Amino acid sequence: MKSAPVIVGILLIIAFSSCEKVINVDLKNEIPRLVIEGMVDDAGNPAKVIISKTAIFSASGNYPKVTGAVVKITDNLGNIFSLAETSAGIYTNATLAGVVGRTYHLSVILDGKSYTASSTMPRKATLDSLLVDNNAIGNIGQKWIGVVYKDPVGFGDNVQVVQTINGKADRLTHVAYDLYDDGGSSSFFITTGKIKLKAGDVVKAELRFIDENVFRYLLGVQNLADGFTIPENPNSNISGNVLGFFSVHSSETKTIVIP
Amino acid sequence: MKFCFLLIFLAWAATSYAQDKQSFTISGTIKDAGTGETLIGANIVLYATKQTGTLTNAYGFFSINAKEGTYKMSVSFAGYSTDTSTIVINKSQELLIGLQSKKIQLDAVVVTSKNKNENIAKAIMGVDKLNMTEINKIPVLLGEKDILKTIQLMPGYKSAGEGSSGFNVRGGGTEQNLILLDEAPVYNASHLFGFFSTFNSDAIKDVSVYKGGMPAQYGGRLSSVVDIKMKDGNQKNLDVEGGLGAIASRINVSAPIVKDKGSFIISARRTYADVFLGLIKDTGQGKQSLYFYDINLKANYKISKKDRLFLSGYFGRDELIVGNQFSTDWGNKTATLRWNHIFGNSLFSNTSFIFSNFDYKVRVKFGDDEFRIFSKIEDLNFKQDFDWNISNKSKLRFGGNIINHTIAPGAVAFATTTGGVAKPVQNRFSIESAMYVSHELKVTDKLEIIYGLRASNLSVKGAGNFYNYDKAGNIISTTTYTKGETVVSYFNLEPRFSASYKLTELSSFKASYNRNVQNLHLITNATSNAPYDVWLPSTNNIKPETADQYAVGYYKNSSEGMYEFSSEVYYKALENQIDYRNAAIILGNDNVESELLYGIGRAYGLEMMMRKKTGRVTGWVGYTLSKVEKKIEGINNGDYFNARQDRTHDISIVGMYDVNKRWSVSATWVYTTGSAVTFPTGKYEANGQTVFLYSDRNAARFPAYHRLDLGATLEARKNKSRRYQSSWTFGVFNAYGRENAYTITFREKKDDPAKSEAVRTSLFRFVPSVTWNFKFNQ
Repeated sequence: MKSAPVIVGILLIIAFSSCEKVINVDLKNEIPRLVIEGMVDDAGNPAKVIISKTAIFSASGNYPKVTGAVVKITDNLGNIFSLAETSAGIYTNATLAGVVGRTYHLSVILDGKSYTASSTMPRKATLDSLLVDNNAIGNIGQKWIGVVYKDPVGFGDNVQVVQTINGKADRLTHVAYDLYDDGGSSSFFITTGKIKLKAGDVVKAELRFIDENVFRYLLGVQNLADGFTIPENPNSNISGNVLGFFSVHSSETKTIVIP
Repeated sequence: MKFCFLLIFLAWAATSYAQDKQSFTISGTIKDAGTGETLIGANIVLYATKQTGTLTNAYGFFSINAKEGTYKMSVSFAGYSTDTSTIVINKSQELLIGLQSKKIQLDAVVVTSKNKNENIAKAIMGVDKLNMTEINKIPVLLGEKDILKTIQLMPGYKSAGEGSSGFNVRGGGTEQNLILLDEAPVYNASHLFGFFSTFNSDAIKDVSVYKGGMPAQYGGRLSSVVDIKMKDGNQKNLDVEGGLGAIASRINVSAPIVKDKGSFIISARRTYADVFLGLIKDTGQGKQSLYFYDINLKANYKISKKDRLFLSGYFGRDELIVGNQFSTDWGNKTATLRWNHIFGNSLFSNTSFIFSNFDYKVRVKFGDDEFRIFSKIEDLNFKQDFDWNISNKSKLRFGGNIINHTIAPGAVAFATTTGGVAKPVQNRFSIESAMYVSHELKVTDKLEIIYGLRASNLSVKGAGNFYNYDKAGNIISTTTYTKGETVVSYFNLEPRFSASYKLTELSSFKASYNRNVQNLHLITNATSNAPYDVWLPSTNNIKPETADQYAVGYYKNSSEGMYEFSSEVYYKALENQIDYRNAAIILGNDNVESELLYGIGRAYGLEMMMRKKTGRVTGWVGYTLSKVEKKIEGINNGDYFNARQDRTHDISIVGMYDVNKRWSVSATWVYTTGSAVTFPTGKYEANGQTVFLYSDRNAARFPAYHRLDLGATLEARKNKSRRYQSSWTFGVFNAYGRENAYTITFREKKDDPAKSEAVRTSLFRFVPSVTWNFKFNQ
């Protein structure tokens, strides 16, 4: 089992969260900053880089997309892949298929400035099965999805699960660290957040093995959502003081129908 | 080297202040005449042409010198009738004095048990004594009277959060408070996620809190010492007290073992918190429960006129069970065995063996998988203290102690076989020792000084692997040590100095300087009140935390002793403070030191307090203006930032009014600037969700916190035999229902994730309480 200590924190806050109220808070607005999110996997998905800018808190989520960047990914064998802007701010290349063990370098050139990152594809993720657990933790009467996978021998096989429910993203970050128990069969139980699962729902879970820098970035995102630590921007693995991350990960996907 | 220094110092002190030839020593013990309970801080004054006086120590013992002659002697203690008699002194002699307790409802509520104007003359500053009678009258959450919450109503002590028993002293962290129960440190002094303290007030006799000039006999923490002494138990008769409250019931039994020779006390408290929290709904998946309990035990026996033994213990536990899937429990255990011996009639010795333990367990089950976390910190401590009354102008305290710390920092283990290999988290071993000497001297009638030195040492011991890191936190090298081998030692000198200068009989000016060192560090990046703390000793990477505190103060009493005014200004410089890397992993991480960042801190402020001590209306107004900042490499661009507990203004008003013989009412009002927090300065999308953007650390504020609590006590009519008494306590916490922010979180709107909202959680509004108390004396 992975990362369950986080659950301990969740439990505490739920116990006292009965008196919630939406309020107005006078927030300072920072000038927009650049956000770069890049992904390469071994599951046949096109390599994708999204470039956008931050918005003010009160904005309604239409993050300004950044067009006109020159985006390239090279690997440690010297192969160069150019990513074309297929829609505003989204740059893709369908021929780039990630290979376990290879290091990939991202280069984004925008307005004369260069932003770079590198990420190495970790070992192959092998997802065994998905299961459903009715768990009273937090007393929210919700079902948890268990992702059962093989943990290769050696520590540091940190994982991420990307989950959709009936085709809709759960808008949550789920990462777990491989720190306590090495090898064997691991299971990572994740919540579905505000979505209450019911019989017949189709849950699709993608297991990713991610590298250490990406893991720390996503753990930072997960901590921000949980709210148990002093909030701070996660450390990006991309140079040039930007937000976001460049992840090269191995991936496997399974679906389960809620009984 | 250390020993040499101490010996030279002692020899010098002894020769400089040898006793006058014709003088005799009057020593003895001051007790409650009804119960035989010794009185701490009772005042003994001898009048002839000039007056001399002293106070009883922590065991009710005093020693005073006087030349041959006839004196008027007065013995007084707050809440007791003053005993006045004539004494002829022509030889050294021992006295046993009993004072009669005043009836509680007629007793003027005295805020301190200090003698009139003693606060002016004494060199010690930054000390507060709490009176248990007063603690019983101040309204608190759910009627659970609580010493740690009463402390928070004094200037300089700030609540760590709504309803919390944790507190910050002069900008320090909650882990920088040394909380002692009969000399044993209590590592986690709270129950139920911080809402209640571990101290059952029924079992407590005396509480002294030091926020500034900490005497040299205390050490090991940077910010404060809360020295709590348990009752010894009734020496004369069987005594049963108890109460039924809104969330807890308690009982307290004390009786003599052998009348006037020895006694015992047993106190127990158990909550039914499950009900109050509404957390536990039956989900049909097994047992649900949430409760805590405390047991205090103490026995003492007078072996001879010069020897007394004490055995005290505390055991407390919290337990939370949520079905088959989750259970956790945590608590403290302490035990103290003490031997008091009086050499001659002016050298008081106390020898203590102390055991202290805090541990927690967590069990989580998902599907067929189960994992467990276990953590503990355990101390074995041997301590020797001497208290030498050289003359009425000169007192020397000296002693030392040695503590063996064993820490299991929280390993995660899997109960089910997954085919994997668990990674253990190493236990850490260390030995902390200290020697101290402190000399209290009346230099002139106006000037009194206390100067002292504490020499402390921490030796980190094997067995274990210790790591060296580069700047980014990667391991460069590992060194393996065998059992008992010294990894690293830290020796520190901690000078302590304070002085008072009487401007008039009713006013004085004081100054102090103190250095404190802390070798045990609380490692937690959580902002919630979970008990899942990880303690670590200093290591090759973690250096001892230090604090240098400078303070000056002005004190004034009104001539009739009705009002007391005090004002102190302090500046504190902190070094080797600990913070955490981005997305740090603390729990179950053997390599946790790689997640730490270090830096410095500074705290400064002004505290003022006006107290009304006598009359039907009593109470105080306290005000604090303060600032506390940290500067950590790797956080906030290396610039100073507000610590979380930084709150600029802090006001507390406490009023108590005795309406008539049966009714008394009380009210407290507190106001503080909101805590320093980090709020978003924008947002973006990453990993398919909204992520908020942050800039400067703790640059924003929660809304100001304020709250009014009301209380009333009704004494039942006395029954004829007077053996049985009862009373009712009523209270309302947050009487005007202010929605104070406990947390403010930012999230996507549920039905429109493109939009964001801020959500405030507030905890307690209009919380009523009723407690019924009873008392039976044989």
